[in-house]
Amino acid sequence: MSEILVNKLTGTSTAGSILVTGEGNSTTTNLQQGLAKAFISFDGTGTVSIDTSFNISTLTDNAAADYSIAYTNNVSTSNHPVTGSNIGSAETNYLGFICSDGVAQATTGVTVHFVHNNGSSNNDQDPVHLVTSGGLA
Amino acid sequence: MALGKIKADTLEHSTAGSLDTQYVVKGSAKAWIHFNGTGTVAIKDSLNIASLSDAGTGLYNCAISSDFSNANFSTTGAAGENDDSGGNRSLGLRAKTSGTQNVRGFRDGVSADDMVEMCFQCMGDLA
Repeated sequence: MSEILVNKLTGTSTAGSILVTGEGNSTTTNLQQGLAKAFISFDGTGTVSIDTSFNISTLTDNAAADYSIAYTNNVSTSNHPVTGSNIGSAETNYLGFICSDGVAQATTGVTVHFVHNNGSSNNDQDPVHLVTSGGLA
Repeated sequence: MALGKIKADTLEHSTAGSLDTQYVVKGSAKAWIHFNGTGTVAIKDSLNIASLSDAGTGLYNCAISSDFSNANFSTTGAAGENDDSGGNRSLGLRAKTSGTQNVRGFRDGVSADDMVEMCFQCMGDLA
């Protein structure tokens, strides 16, 4: 067993791609593309506040159950995938996730929205979780 | 080649594309699961999941093998069925600790319902 201490790992063939052999011992997966590029857990009620995050510069409360996040380091395309979930405030208060609510995704961030399962008015939630994948700019 | 640990601050390709290693550490999902939540619940595939239990209609309790550093880790998921009846499905989060993540399946007008397909992933720092 050993330990390698380095500041950079450099590939030697395809640009922007480091391959890792998968668990099946044959197929390779792209290391960079497989990593989440940002995530956040936040309290979306009252004055919104971040519980924990990675690569998130700001969180904005737009309206009830409607939030925007901005990335510290932008992603490469506005088509990047974003997933989200939340803990309902009551056993009958659960909201589904919409990754863009009439606001186009941007490389700098995304606006998200949560909709109530019973179609009633949406309300702020705590906590709200988001994960962003895709490539960095 | 000896097996071991790689410590680095950046991953960089020879011609383009560098990646700070914080993305490797923080950008890797620390736990994920895909399970069937109907009948006798069954894990289809998972990482770092110790157990899954049925906590009632649409309710599932999941224990994590190697705990997170705190309960603030970020979990996102999705739910589905193998037919188009019954309205839109989704996965909701329930109580969690550094070592557990409980979830629910729900759909239009129904706050808890068993789902054939349940998937979620957890991001954050391990203990």
